[in-house]
Amino acid sequence: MAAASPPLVNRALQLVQAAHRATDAYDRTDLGERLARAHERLGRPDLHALVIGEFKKGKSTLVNAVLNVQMCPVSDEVATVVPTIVRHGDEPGAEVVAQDPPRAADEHPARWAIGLDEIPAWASERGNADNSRGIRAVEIRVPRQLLRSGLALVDTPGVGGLQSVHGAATMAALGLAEVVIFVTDASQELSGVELEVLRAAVARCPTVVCVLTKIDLYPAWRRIADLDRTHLAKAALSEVPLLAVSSILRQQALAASSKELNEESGYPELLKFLNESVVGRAQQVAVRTAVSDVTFVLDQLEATFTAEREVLVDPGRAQPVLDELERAKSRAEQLRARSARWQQTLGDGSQDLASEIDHDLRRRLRDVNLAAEEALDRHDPIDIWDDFSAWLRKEVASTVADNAEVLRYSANMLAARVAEHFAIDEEALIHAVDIGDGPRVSGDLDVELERTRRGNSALAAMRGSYGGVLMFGMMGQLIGLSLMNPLTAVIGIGLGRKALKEEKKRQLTMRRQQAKMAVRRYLDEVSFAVNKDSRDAIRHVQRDLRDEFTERAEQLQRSTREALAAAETAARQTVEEAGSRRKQIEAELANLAKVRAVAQELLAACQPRAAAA
Amino acid sequence: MSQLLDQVRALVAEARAALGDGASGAALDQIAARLDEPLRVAFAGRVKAGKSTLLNALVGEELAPTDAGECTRIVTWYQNGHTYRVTMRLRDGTEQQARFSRADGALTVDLDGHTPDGIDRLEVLWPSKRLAGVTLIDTPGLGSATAGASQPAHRFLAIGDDDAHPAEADAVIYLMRHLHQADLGFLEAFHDDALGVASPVNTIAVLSRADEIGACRPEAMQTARRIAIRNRTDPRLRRLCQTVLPVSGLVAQAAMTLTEAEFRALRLLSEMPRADVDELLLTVDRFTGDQLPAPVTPIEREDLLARLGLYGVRTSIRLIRLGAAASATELANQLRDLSGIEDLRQLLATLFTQRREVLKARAALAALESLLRERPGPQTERLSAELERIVASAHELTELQIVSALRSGQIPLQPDEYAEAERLLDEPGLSLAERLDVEPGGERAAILAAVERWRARAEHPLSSRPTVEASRALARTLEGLLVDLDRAAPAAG
Repeated sequence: MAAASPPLVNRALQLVQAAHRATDAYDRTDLGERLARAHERLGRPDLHALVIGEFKKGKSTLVNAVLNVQMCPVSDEVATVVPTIVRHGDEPGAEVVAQDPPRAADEHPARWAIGLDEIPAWASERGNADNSRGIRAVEIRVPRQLLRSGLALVDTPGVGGLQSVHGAATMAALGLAEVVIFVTDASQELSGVELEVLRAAVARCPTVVCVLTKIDLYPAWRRIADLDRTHLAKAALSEVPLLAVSSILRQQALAASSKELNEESGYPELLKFLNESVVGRAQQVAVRTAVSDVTFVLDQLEATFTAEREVLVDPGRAQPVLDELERAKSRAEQLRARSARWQQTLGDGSQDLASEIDHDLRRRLRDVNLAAEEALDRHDPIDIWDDFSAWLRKEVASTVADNAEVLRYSANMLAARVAEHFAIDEEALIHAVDIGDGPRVSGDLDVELERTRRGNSALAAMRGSYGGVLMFGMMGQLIGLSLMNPLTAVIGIGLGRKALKEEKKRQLTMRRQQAKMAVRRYLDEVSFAVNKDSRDAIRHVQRDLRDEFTERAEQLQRSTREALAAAETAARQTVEEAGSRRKQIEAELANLAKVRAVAQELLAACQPRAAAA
Repeated sequence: MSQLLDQVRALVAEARAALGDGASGAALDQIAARLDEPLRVAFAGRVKAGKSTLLNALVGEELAPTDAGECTRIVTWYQNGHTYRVTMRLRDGTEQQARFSRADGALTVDLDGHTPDGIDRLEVLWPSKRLAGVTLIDTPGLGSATAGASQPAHRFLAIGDDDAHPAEADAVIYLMRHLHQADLGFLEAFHDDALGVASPVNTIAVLSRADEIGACRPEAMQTARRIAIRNRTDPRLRRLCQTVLPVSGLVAQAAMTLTEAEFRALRLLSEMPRADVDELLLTVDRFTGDQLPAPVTPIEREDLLARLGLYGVRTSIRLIRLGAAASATELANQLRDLSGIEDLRQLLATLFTQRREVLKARAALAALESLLRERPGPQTERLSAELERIVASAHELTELQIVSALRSGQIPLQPDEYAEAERLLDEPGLSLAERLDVEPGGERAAILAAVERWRARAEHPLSSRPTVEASRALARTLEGLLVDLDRAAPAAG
């Protein structure tokens, strides 16, 4: 099972601990903090597995069967209406996530706890038809080994056709998930709509798996599976694996603790896929990140010792070494300064990003508005109002979804650019302190790794501001046409025939104006809410990047300062003192080299597979 | 009623004389012929909704080929006839006899080298009592993964910009597995203008494959019934179809054709110990595999499963064990009742047969209207005016339009008024007293009171125009009922 940390993660944990002991010994608490965080992050990546598909295909049953819980409401009659997020928790519990983040403190809370027996009343059609209770999601916590690794399963309302509101929201959520589990059943082969959703999922999410459910009910399920594979191949989606499962067998297997039945249910294969392809891959990134952190810390520690040794070995070179270190120190200070290149890239980039996203949204909403006005000019608003509002909601939902996708992509690009520029700045610093084979004050930033990491951070930021999943049904309602009553007969009686006609015309014009105004107000509302969300997300990304790199610069600065101090002390020492100190330093460096060797070994162990993935 | 049909017939004949021979003439001949043909009922729905299976169940024979994968690719008409014959109508306008055979009951047609794309439709002539009053039309499913496979259905039901193609069906049975967004979309697309193909008056929605709801458990059909009742009150669906019925085509088809051998096999299975049967019926793989002991060979079991489905097998075994089905006939009757097919058949009989003539007239007028619009000639204006006069003066058509408008909520009425109007116009199979919601004997007084009420409603200054029109029409309908009542009264008394 995935749950037990794989050897790779365990080794990384040990490595981080070893490095942490070293920072304690040398009194570098700043570096120690970095390692403490690395330790915490390791083995608990934040992973979202989005379970999507047409409705009544068995998505909730699948989530329950994977986790061996009865948490997601399952019913023959009613469907899931809001996304249900299942994550790890030491005690079972459930919470409701409110629609909008509260604007004022005295408004409704952002989330509140509910009893486990209340879940159906919030998550399914029963009690919450069409999400009339207006919530964003239900979050369930259960103690499960599979989830301990940081995986969260997100059960979604069924996609009722690509153009529906739920469809658009699912599209948007695709980009925020690490893995998409697409659910279809053995009652029929994949339909055109399903293939379209799958295609969108593959375009937006790194890992997609197609699960064929209900194989216990349909004798021809093997043929359906073959047909589905053919459809996938024809749609150039052959990299999407198709796994056939029976939830009924899985339930029986778990109730009877029968390994045989479990194998027959097909679930072990799905769990294996989740463990290896999803959790495993995320863990590899986590391990590489940890190794990168450890290497950085080792570099810092060694830098101090090597500078000191340099001076001890050849007291005559003390001055040039001290000069070099002095220069390095001032460079490190520059790296921290606002004027540093990466800082500018970050500052300007964030501003550009915000205005780009804003502009994108405006442009898209303007198009929607134009189309809406055209429709209103062609018809009497009264006649088309119901269909019109439904259409508008769908349009707005897919607009917002597209906009969020642009944001996600651009935020990733920004993170990568900042990491690159920091690396260039750092490179300059390294050359500055290259003294013969002397000290190297460097973190050797792995830009590729940083890109992945920062990408994840942008993802986390967006998830944070969207409350885990994008606004399923967040779109409010258009204001009704209460003001737009048809011409009343009372007025009609008092007017002559011609005047009546004029009056009717005037009223129609007025209705159109009112309808257009209602549309504009609605779009303004949407624009305001979405803008706030994306600005929050951008700020989050910006802060995260700034904190990370500032801290790194501070640590570099402190290392150069300590190296300088050590070198100065060394320069004042007597020959005897110098001799014993040299031995001591050699021993320390040997110790650090041992840790470094372990780090390199670990990196080599995860590199080839990471490259393959 | 036939008065309307006669008017339409006369108009078509007049148009035929005015427009003469050529393409228009041929089209008019078709319209004229169609007035005297059986009602055409089309089966529509998304792919794998179970259209062919339901068609077979209604005919009571395994005619249309069915399969686990997508199967129907060509629009196929099943008509009553004196002989067995299959005709291919090709896209290029020609037609050709096709060779056919029956393998395992279902019809296999030799397309003689033609691709499905090149064939407009297949016409199957089949002597069958059940096809006597109605022609059934099978269509390819909508929303197929195979590009192009769905287009014929769209064209056939006159969806999209292909306005030139007049509606070929008089009524539609729309099959859906759940009420899906896409189904609403398709149903909406069927609806056209005033004289369009589908409207709530001639569309029945069927919750198909109802036996598969809820993992084929024994209560599946009851669950399906509850869902159907819920769907009936859904306002989005109300304005698109007459009603929603749950039907299991597979169980119905098996019930119609259940054999003694099948019954014997089922009885043997029902005699197994309860736990063993449950184990065997847990999954389809277990049921058809040879790992578990059973008194029936795996091949026989596979056949049973293909014929009845998991729900059918489970239910049959339960019924036999409970002693509710002691013979093949009894089991077949039980399954037939469970399947919901009888409800559908009854609804078809009352609804479409009752409205048969007006539906026919309506379809013919729609076809004629599009023909006149499409091919204007010297007489067009006069003919159009005449057509408009018929449409305006035919009270039956007005009633149909009001039913549509009522259902789509276009007529503002009080809830009790709404119920009254609906009972009067839109409840097939009710007696006069039931339509008026009075005790038998009180019809006359009730009609007189209702006429007054609706007249007052029509004249009320605050009534909106649609309400005025509907109220007038209802008053007229009631007056017609009064005339019928008075005419029948002396005979009865």
